[in-house]
Amino acid sequence: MRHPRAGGGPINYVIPPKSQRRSLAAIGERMRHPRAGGGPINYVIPPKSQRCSLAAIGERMRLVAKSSRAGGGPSFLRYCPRGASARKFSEEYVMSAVLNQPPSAPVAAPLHQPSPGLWTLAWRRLKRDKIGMTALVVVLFFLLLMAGSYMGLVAKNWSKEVGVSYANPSFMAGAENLEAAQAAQKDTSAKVPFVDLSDIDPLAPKYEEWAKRTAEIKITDTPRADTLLFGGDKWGRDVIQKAIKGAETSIFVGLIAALLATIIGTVLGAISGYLGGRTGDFLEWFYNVFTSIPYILLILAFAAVFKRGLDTIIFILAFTGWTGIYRLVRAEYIKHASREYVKAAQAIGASHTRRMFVHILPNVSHVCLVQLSQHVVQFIKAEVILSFLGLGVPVDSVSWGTMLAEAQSELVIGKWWQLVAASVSMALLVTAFSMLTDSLRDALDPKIK
Amino acid sequence: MDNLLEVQNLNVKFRLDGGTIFDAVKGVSFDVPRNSTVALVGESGSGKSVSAMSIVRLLPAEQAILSPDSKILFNDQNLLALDDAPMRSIRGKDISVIFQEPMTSLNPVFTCGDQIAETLRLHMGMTRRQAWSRAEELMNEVGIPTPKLRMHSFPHEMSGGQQQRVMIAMAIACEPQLLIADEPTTALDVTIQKQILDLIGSLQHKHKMSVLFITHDLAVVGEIADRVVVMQQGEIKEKGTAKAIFEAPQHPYTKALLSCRPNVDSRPKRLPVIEDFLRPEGLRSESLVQQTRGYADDDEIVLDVRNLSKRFQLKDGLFKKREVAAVKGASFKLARGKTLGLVGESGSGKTTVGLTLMRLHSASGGEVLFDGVDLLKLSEQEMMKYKRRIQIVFQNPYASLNPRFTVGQILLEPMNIHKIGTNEQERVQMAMALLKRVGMPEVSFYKYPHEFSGGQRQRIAIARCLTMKPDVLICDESVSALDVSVQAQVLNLLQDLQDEYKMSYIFISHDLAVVKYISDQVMVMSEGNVIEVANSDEIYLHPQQEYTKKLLGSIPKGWQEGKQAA
Repeated sequence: MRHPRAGGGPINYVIPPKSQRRSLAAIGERMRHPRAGGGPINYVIPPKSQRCSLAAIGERMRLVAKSSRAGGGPSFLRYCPRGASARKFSEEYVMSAVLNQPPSAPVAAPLHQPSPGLWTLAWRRLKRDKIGMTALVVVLFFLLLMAGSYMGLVAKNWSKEVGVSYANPSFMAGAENLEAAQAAQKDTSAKVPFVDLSDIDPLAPKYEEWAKRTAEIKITDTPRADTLLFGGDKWGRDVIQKAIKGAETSIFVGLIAALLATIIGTVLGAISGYLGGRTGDFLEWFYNVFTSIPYILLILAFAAVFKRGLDTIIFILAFTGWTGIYRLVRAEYIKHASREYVKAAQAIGASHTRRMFVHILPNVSHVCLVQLSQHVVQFIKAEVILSFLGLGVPVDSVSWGTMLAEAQSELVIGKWWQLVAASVSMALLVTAFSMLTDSLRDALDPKIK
Repeated sequence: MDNLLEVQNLNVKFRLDGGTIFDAVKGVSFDVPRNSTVALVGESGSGKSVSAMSIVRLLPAEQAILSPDSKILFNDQNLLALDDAPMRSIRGKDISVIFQEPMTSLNPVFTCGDQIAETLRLHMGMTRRQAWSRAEELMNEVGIPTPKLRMHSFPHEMSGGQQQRVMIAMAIACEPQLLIADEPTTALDVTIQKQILDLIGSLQHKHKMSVLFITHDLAVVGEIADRVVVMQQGEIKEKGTAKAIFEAPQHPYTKALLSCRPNVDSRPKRLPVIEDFLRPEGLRSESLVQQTRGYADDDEIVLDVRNLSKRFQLKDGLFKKREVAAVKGASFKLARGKTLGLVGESGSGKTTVGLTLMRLHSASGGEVLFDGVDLLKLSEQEMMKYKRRIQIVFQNPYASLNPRFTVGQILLEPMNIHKIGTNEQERVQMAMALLKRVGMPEVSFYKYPHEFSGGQRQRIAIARCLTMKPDVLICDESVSALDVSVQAQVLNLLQDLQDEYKMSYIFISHDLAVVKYISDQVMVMSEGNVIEVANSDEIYLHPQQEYTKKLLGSIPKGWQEGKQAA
């Protein structure tokens, strides 16, 4: 079995055991949109070791389809057993197909090309959207940065005091730095000039010994840089590294909290919209009571009760932020519950859960997805506000919010770079994310087609 | 003869998503003589509506491209070369349009009187009071009872037929020379359709105007048109006087259109489809043989429905509830391998009967005996066994398939739920075989519903039901949304499947000709009551009840010889 394009060696093709074998298109499909929550068929993706690239699958399919067409039989796609030639395989298949159908009805089967699903179409539309693609690149960059900092590849030593206090950015190296000068003066002034008191000091004989012992202990007084690339903070920490580490915290909080809020909102909205009746009424009452409490007060109340920490912030944001999503998803479910395809699913005997989450959910998923990305933006901003108010992340970690809170007092003495670093990176991410959301909404809206 | 409108070499292209260009109308030329009715006939996608809309220049400006050598001469004035302002004064005054959906064409927040008067004030320069009294005369002219009161009614307070009358009143308000009617009766019940057709006909004579009547239904055309233009895929296949088209059609497509549609007077074993007319050897022999239908005495009864009733509870005010009876004590029997047709106008409760049988609605009373078991008394679990044995094909093939499922997933799902087939592979094979059986290529298995046409989707919906091998198949207006030629194919398929699997059908439709063609027994319903149940030939030849006679009398008769002379 040769790869026609590579014109060389055989494809490394591992076939899953028979029990795990599925139709190719199904696997391709599943791989293409794993989020769709699966179809009615419980397709199992072959274990990682047995998976092959989509391109390889496609190539293989093309080949099988071609040779089976040459054989005059219907094209049908499955895994080719390893080692079997495509021709032999397709001949076998044609035989089995012939056995199952009257041979008098040969089907002129066109070459099978996996049809673009709605997600593929959406991706194609997104690719045409230049603004959307730029935004996507920016967002991906931030996500990579976050992953890198989480794994300790970048900004690992953000808490090291590498510069002098409020070190100047390197592009304004000559500027006066009163704070650093003051601190340096304090250091020197602490060293009192030596006065010989040996005649009255009973401990005088030991001084020599102590001095010797002191000399033995190495003091590694790191040389502090006068300037840093984009300046330093009060303790001389690099602002860029702080911003990167801060990004990790902020994005992590935003993503996880938005994910949780979307799940809560979607599940409650689905139940309320689909079932309606008393359950729906109860959830509506709950929603109304919940939203009647001023939002920011609710957050502050939660924040005051629980101890400080990342998990608390995530919990607070998710638990107070689901309401908008709930409302939208509920409306979508009410609309879809009366559609004919749901009735058709009921007619074939699909259960309520199945109708709610297998049939309707993929059709409203664009709403959930757009809500998710909008809430990521919203929660990043909320985390900043919480941290700014002192209810956010613990003191030993950094986020954009704590940076902004510090910047408040720094601005008075003219140290603007921490503020700029935090707000520029935040503005960049939030804007890119919003634009991406807009493009996603356009690309995913089935009404546009 | 002097022509009011001459369409010369009309070419319309559409810019589609992704930069592709679609040829909607390719070099179409036809004339509309003064004081006559011209019908533009074709199936969906034939370009008939696009042609008509380009006359009034109502095509979407961003997408539509009109070729420069196209000409539309109205009173020898090229409409395509006119500026917007003079065009606006022609549109609505000299040329007016009636659309298909009266409900969406009328503005819901203004009274009908306001809307008619507005047209008069805009185009005729009338004062408010003059316009109002003229509007009242028009309401009277189009046959709305108590026009004085109805002037103050909002569109939603009127029935569909009355709304269409208001639309017609607006259209004729300025004494137009040309009236374009775009499928004006398609959304209406058959009895209302007849009234509206009669109304348009009489107005045309009275006001000496010309009518361009767009429709897919040749039977309607035969009733009112003087000249006919047959279109297919953006081209004119045939044009001529109604007499020539109906009595001596030349083009095979016209011939096919004329005979695809089931006819009340004959019932061939197999309906001819367009392909039959394009083949050199001509019609299949089955198309010439008549089929006899009707229940026999020794038929096995599959479904015995006794006194089925369904009441809906509506909220009335804050706490009160009001009950509306949708079905009042319907009783009928369904024999194995036979078809029961259910006819009635909208709101007659025919669809509710179907849904209640399957327990998609809970019944308010009565019994549904299926092989002797009362389905209405079963628990949910016990019902699961029977669910697969009664299945339904819905009306709208665009809405009844989940757009996010591939056809494969759609077909495999019922088999997975009901544990049909031993393993996945066997199920896939069964699904493939069924796809073939309903005339779809096997590649469809991997495609999404949006890649198929309406007829193909309805085939997929039928295949989904077949996966469960049902005994009873309910077809709820299943062919009503399809083009006539596709309708014939699907009806043939249903007949073949019934012969092969011995299924029983409950065929729900408002289309009396289709019901007559496919049914062994027919049940006529009106306002929730069963009016009459009898064998199909019996009911069409000797209707017993007044209502049935009225209903049958409204079926468009199509072309009748001697009409022209009269």
